Amino acid sequence: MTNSRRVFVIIKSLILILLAVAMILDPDIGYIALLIIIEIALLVKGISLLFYYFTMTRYKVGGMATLYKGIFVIDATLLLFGLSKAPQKLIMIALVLMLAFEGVVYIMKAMKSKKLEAGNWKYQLLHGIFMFIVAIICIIFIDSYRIATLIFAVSLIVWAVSDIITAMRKTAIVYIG
Amino acid sequence: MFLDFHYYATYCAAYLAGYTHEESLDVAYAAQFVDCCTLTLLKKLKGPKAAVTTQYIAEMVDDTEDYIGLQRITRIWSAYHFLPYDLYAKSKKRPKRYMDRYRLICEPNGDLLIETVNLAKDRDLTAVGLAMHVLADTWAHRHFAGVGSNVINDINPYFYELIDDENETTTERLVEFRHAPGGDDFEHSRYNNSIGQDSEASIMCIGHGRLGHMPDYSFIRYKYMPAWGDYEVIVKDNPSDYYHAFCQMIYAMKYLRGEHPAFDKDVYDFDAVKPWEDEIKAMLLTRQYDHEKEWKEMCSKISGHDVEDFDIDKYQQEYIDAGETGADGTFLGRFFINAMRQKSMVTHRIFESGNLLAGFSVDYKTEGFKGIKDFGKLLESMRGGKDND
Repeated sequence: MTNSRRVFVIIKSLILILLAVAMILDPDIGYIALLIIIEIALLVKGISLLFYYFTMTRYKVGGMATLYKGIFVIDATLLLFGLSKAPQKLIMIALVLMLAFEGVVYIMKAMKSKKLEAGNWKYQLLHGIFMFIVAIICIIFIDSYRIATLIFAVSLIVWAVSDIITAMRKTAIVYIG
Repeated sequence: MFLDFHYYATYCAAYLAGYTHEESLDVAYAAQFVDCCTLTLLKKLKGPKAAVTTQYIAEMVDDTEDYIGLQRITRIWSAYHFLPYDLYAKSKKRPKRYMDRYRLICEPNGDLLIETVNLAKDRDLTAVGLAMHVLADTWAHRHFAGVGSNVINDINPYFYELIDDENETTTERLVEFRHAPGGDDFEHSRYNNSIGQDSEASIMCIGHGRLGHMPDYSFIRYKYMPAWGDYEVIVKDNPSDYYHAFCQMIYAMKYLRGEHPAFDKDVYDFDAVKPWEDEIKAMLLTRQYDHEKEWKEMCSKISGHDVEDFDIDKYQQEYIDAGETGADGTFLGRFFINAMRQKSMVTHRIFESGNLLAGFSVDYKTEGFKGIKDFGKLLESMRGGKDND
């Protein structure tokens, strides 16, 4: 990782942690922040798809699909920006689906790792089960956006901390010529 | 390539190059072990994780979760299975992002192959086996890059298998790619492949994943139009490529044994194979999943010895029993150090070319030891000469 990228990752992660703490402390601001983060993430995704098209996929058959996808994502994001308040249940359902899906993936990975005698299968299994439990809690409290922001904030903190850890790791190969 | 070539054919090539039966077994074992040395196995053995030479799908899925993981994937697949041909290759005007991936496309007889073979010179037999795996794969895996790249490694619907009949007429059959249980259907040219993804770095687009196991079948010939080649038709002739790989391995190992003063590109020891040429060529053309039984018989014909089946557990207890102090001197310990040496060399060359897809490399001579701790073993071996056992 380049030093500039390392600095960028750390600053980005610290901002996310601050935002997450603010979301936990004030749910009303937190909910608006959650929507803004989702919208910005979608916008970045759309722009990066366009960039991907112009630098890469326009040189391959079927690459035009990336262009259409990028335009669609940007359009959808701008539409979302126009809405004063997205339906809370929609946000909750999206979060629950994401969590449940990730939980299933982790459990499947744990089963595979166990079969391959990898030592980390118990950790993966616990991770998957934990995500499932969180998804179930979300379903129970589906009408409460307080829970949604809380879960989102905790996810942001976990994500930001893991990014900081990655950025601090020694990852260079040593060449002994 | 499967075990039939990496183990049995490598044994035959080693024996024809002049190694004894026991030495040839060690070379063949190391060559095949490149396809076995996963992170999972290294964790089980408590070996250096940087020595990983291949990955299970589950391990690759873990690695796609971050940017560093993607570099780890590229290091593994580029260093051992898809050796880049030309790190400074030129193409029509393309952005750097595209060219970084384009330059990792594997082909036989590149500069890195020379370095790979030279890295095994005057080193133990595990280094020889490892180099032979890399060499052989440059033939089977040519035209694909050891990096997750949708743009470089994806294919398009123009894909035909070329089938020769007894009258030497070639029929073109449209290949049907699918994701079905039950394996490949050679009779109808239906082959399983990985699922197409939009994501550039998807693990589905590493190497020849989008072709499934097609490049691993020695009998197969096909033609297609890769996007990176500006849609010019490429004909892949595996029977010819596998035969060249076999003859080049013999030449390379004769060089490593000191019979040739240098290892040059595009040189093949066809003479050494002459007595078995027809039999080997006929075997390579047989339309079946692998040729383990046939290559095993060929081993006996060539050396007069029966070759034991490959056993992944063969050297594991020796490594575990040796403990921390003696492990580096065992068969697997030496293999791990040689694996790190190969990875270090290839990563450094990619990094030197201005391409960061395989991550960073720090030159010990100029910058000291700043990097992944496991490479300390490589440094120790250079100082102590343990790798020259």
